[in-house]
Amino acid sequence: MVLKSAKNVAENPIGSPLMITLRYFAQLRETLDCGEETMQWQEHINTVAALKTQLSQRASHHTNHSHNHLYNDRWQKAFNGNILCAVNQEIAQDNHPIQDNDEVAFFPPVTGG
Amino acid sequence: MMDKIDSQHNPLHNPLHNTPHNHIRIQENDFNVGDEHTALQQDAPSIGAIVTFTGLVREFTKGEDTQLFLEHYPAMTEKVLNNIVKQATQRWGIISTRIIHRIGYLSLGEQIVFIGVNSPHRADAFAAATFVMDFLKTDAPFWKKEITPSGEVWVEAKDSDASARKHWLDNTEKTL
Repeated sequence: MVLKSAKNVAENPIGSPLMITLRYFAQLRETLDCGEETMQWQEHINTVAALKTQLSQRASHHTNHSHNHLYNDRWQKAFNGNILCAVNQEIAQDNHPIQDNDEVAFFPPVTGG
Repeated sequence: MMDKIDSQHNPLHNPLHNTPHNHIRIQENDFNVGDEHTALQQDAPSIGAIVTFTGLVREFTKGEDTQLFLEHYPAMTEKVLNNIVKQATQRWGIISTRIIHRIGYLSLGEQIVFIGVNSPHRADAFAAATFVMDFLKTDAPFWKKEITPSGEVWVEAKDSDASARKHWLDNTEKTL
């Protein structure tokens, strides 16, 4: 699932759009029905907090499709819950920057061992 | 979409990721504690102490046929476990460590995790093994799901695990 392009797409020096990879694990992966996606990097998602806000608003993004309402509500609920974020495989707080090519992962508190 | 973890293709199986002093494996297959103990002895034949810990799937719902499903975030697991071992090595006089964590579907009583530490002295080996296990539980990106005939439930993180981790950090502050 990829969000629709903004009007002004940020580009890298060789002219291709700036992209980030998003990954979801465990309960979050199941709730969102998504394990991995790519998304265009844009100025307004340049921190973990901003990206979370953007993703949680996917609910309103799709509310015209009434049959999708339940599914989309899940994004909002998921990102309001207790989830952790890792940027390039290291735990990142809300103010952590997000740049071109970053791998950003969201997941619940871990339960291994 | 779920990561397909194939033990043959798991990057953590690449011998380049494992030195004799820091051996980490994430695998679906079971492991043999005796083999791991032997390997720890062979890492340092004149060693004074080996401490090992083996975690098993315990009964979480009485009387029901239960299974666990374990998932992880491979690239991050590797970074986190390497970092935990590095911290343990800086903190105690340990010679080598072995960590194995299983993923996929596991039944009651099966082995999930193995921690082995060797050191010239038992106190260091005990402390380092506990430290590695405590941090693995709170920092390594593994997730467990309980599967019973009545349904599937993702396991919630426990406050007691966070307290065990915090204990080590508090101790660090006291010794500084």
